[in-house]
Amino acid sequence: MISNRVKEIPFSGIRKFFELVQKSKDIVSLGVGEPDFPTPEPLKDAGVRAIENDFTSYTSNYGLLELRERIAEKLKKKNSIDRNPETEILITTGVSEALDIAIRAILNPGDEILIPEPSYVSYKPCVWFAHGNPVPVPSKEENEFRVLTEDIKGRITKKTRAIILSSPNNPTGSVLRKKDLEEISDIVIENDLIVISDEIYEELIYDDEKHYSIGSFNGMTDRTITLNGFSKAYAFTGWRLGYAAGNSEFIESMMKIHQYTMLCAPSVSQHAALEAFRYENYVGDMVKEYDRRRRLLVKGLNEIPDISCIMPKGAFYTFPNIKNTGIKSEKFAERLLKEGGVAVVPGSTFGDCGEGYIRCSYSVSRESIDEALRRIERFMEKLG
Amino acid sequence: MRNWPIKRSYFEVIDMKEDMDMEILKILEDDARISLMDIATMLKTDEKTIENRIAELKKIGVIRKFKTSINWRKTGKHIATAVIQVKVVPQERSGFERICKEISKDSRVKDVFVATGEYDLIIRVEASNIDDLSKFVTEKLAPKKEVVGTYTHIVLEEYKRDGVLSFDDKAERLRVSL
Repeated sequence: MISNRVKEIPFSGIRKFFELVQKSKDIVSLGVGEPDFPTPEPLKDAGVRAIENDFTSYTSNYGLLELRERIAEKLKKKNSIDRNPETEILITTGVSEALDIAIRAILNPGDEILIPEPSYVSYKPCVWFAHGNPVPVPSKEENEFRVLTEDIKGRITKKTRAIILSSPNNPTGSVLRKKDLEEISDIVIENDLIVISDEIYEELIYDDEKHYSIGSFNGMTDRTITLNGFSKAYAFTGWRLGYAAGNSEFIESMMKIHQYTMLCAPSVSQHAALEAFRYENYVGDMVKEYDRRRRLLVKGLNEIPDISCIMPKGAFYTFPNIKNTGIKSEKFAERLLKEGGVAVVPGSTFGDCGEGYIRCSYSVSRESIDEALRRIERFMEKLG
Repeated sequence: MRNWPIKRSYFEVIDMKEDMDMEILKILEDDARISLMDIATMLKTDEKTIENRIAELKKIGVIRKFKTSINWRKTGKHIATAVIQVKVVPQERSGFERICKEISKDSRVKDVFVATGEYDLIIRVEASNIDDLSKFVTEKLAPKKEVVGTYTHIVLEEYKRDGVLSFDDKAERLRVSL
């Protein structure tokens, strides 16, 4: 009854582990992948007002023009990216949809897409669903999980069509520097590739790091599809709202899929999101709080024997190394849950090179971080 | 470095020169039991610095007290809470100050505000029971010579106190999401 394509694609191997987590009692979770703040009041109110005023019908396939105009202004001001709101921006149902249709819009069967790993879990399956072949490019802890250009170069073939970049990165929290992106741009141009740049964690960046959008680099305007949204910066995950920006050829092609499959992004969410552009300072306070938790978690993890953790520069994840325990990350996470009462995500979930690591989120209260650290320490003592 | 003034009393303004003080206050406002070490880690400094800053903030009266938010109802302890509006004849030169201070000294009184409106003061009282509350109003508060009227609102239910929810929040996130 089910297509071969779908049957061939495995369920995420840790689905059982997730079910176990949901059922477990008295656990502290560092497994969350969304903000632990509520949606800001002005955005919530705008959503309620949208419902009350009957802004509940379909919008243009592209999304509300006013919202696209705001996004175009933001892209110009913050990312130095110049996009026409009429034809070069598409509002989507979260970055997830944008990612899916971007891949489907550019891929022919058998085409390859480079995916620096550890990476967000959806990239690979989206490529599979589009009849393409994902090609992982491992990044390493000693390079702060920033992908090296020589590792990209070595994997380019005649079939390579694109590369998916994600900075700040989930799960490692790594941030690509300007120089990294310049070097990647050179390779992309030289090999006539496309970049899908997932910038959803753009606002969550720490220390002296800065976010750069590869779409603003020389020669990259017509080669980049920039993906972003409101989920992480405005604690807006359940509203499902993202956007894609690229030249009109990309965006029109994506819109073709979008209009037949999604029609338009949720209209109430679009109206609420308009409010986001008036509350930019909201993000600053949130980032400050994440930054404090980041320091607490990283310091605490490094004080536990056999765990080491580099200081991540973005997002809200740490990616500690557990290789000294000699236990595979999936087994480690399962035992830590059952014996230690702490939920984390095994690093291998994010690609083979994530083996030997676990993802610990600091998008949880300080009390949870403290309690989780205490429990992990006790668990490690028992491990001996 | 940013200068920011704090009102120390009704007329005296002091300068606090460091942003760090502001950061420490925000952290402590949320969690008074947090360790010095944790604050130091979060603010990229050492414990000693934090200890000194907190001591200073206490000394100059910015930090008044470290308290705990308790839901007494859960313990079964009975409390009669009332919000009372009080109409007062202001005194020459001292205005409402003397009467406010006097009312504040009663341990049952939890909040005292001078406010705009028909009444001059709004106070919150937590008595051990209705009789105790009644005594406070009829024997202590109302007979004061400056007090010309009281309007007592007995609290029936409590949902939030000092920024802390009194009920369990049901809006839970997924424990694991990628």
